Amino acid sequence: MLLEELISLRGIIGFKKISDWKKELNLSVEYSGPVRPKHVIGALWEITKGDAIVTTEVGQNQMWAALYYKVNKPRQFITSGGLGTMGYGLPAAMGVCLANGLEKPVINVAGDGSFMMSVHELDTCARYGLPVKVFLLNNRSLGMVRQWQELFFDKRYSETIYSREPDYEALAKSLGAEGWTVSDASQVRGAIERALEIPGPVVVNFIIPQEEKVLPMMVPGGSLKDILTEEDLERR
Amino acid sequence: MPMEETRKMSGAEAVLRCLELEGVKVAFGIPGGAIIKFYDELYKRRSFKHILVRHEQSAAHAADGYARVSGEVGVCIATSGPGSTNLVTGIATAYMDSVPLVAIVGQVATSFMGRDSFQETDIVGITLPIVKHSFKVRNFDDIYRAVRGAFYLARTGRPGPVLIELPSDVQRQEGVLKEEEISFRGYSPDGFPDLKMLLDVVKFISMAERPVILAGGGVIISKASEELIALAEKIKAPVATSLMGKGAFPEEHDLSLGMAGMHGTMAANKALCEADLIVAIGVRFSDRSIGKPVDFATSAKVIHIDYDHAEIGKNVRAHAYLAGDAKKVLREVINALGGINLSSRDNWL
Repeated sequence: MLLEELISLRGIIGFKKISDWKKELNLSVEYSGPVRPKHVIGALWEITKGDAIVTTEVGQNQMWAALYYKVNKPRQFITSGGLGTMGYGLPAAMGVCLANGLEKPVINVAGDGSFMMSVHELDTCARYGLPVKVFLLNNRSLGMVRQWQELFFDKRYSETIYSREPDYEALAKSLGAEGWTVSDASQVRGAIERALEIPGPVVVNFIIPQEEKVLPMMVPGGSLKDILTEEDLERR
Repeated sequence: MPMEETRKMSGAEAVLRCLELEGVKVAFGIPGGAIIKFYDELYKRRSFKHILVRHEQSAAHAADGYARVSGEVGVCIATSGPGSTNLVTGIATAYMDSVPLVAIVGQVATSFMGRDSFQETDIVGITLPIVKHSFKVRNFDDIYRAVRGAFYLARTGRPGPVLIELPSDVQRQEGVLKEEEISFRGYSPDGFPDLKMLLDVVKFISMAERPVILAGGGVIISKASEELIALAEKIKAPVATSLMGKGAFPEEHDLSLGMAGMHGTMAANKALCEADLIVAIGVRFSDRSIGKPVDFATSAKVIHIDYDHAEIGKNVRAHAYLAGDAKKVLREVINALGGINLSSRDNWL
């Protein structure tokens, strides 16, 4: 079925109050099974009480962080908006550490695509003792482009899926950071708490399903009325 | 700050002296052949903490992150040629998000310019479209205005990155640093806001039944969150933000809709579609925030408040606009609204 039909199937949206629309962002999930972005960002938000400074990379990780990590203060959510620069978040987090004092941990929400573009800076974090905590939402792919290919290019995954991946624990270790891998949702909270307690840079490699998507999503080239939701995709 | 020194010093020392006057506490960079004299003086003077990164792009991003969190100017340093071209992505990132940044780059000696000398590249030319301004230092006497001017331009008005090109022979040249007044013809960032359409703004807000505020990074730059909250509560309008505006309005506030745009919340996007008035503050209506401009807010009036006159009408036609610093403008709007009564908006919220 065509995307346009899917959207029109929903029919003309009846007049709803703003409070009804707000209910649609549901953050409650069971912490079991594979790790999902909601688990990681939701737990991060709870554990840091929404008070941490968060930098992001660009792509799915950025949108998940923006959707699920609610901030109440300016200058708390640091992201490359206009240019959309992958590899921004890790070095930006270093700058945040220098502005923020070296005691408070700074969170870098990353994807594996972006992380590998600036991974060498873990060495800088280690040399200066910068408490940058990289929470890697690892889907072994360039996830946002892959998502577009799945939804709008008939699942032709042209050059978006990595055929092998680095050993992130060994990579972190060689650059002077601690690192470990988490693949079960039940371990998410513990991993985040441990990462925030350890001084210096840490990489937590969360293995998330490759098909995980950022939704809702405005159809590329469309308007704010052309929104794809999870329900639309289930109906497909 | 008065300058106590009248002794002769090298150009490199003069640059550092100016950075000290600006109160620079930290800079990020990598040394190289065309900036080695600067780093030699830094070794002696210890003017600020220097973070030696692994790639110049990271120096620019780190300076950018420092600036976004502190609100102060971030400083990055690189050598000529590849060192300076490696900064380009970081400078463009800062430019697109209006981040105050000063990039200091080495350049081959003036006598070697135009000869395709080792590590020579026209970095001023390359970065021209992605900087707020750039300074080509060619003599010792250019240094004071270039460095102090770079900081002044980076942090005032609509902030942005400024590049200083520092040839290696000028770093070695001796001179006496002289204070001078820093001003630029036609640049007056502290001017009064343009409030010509204030009465229209008040009229549109009073008449609206389903108003929505769309707040962007300009609110954060202008430190206008308090005023934004006051306005939203006064006119009972829910607040959506752009990605850059995240944090401008407390996301746990009852009136918060979260982020609008391509991956925005349903609440924010639906509210923008259903609104009959959109009060846009410090946003530039990027396609990722609003989709196709022609299909945006087709049934709503748009009030656009922005520091930069050039943003008014660039992407979306505004029925009324106010140009100026968001904090100042919002205070004027709140005053002008007076004791407005908007009880009918309960059906909307």
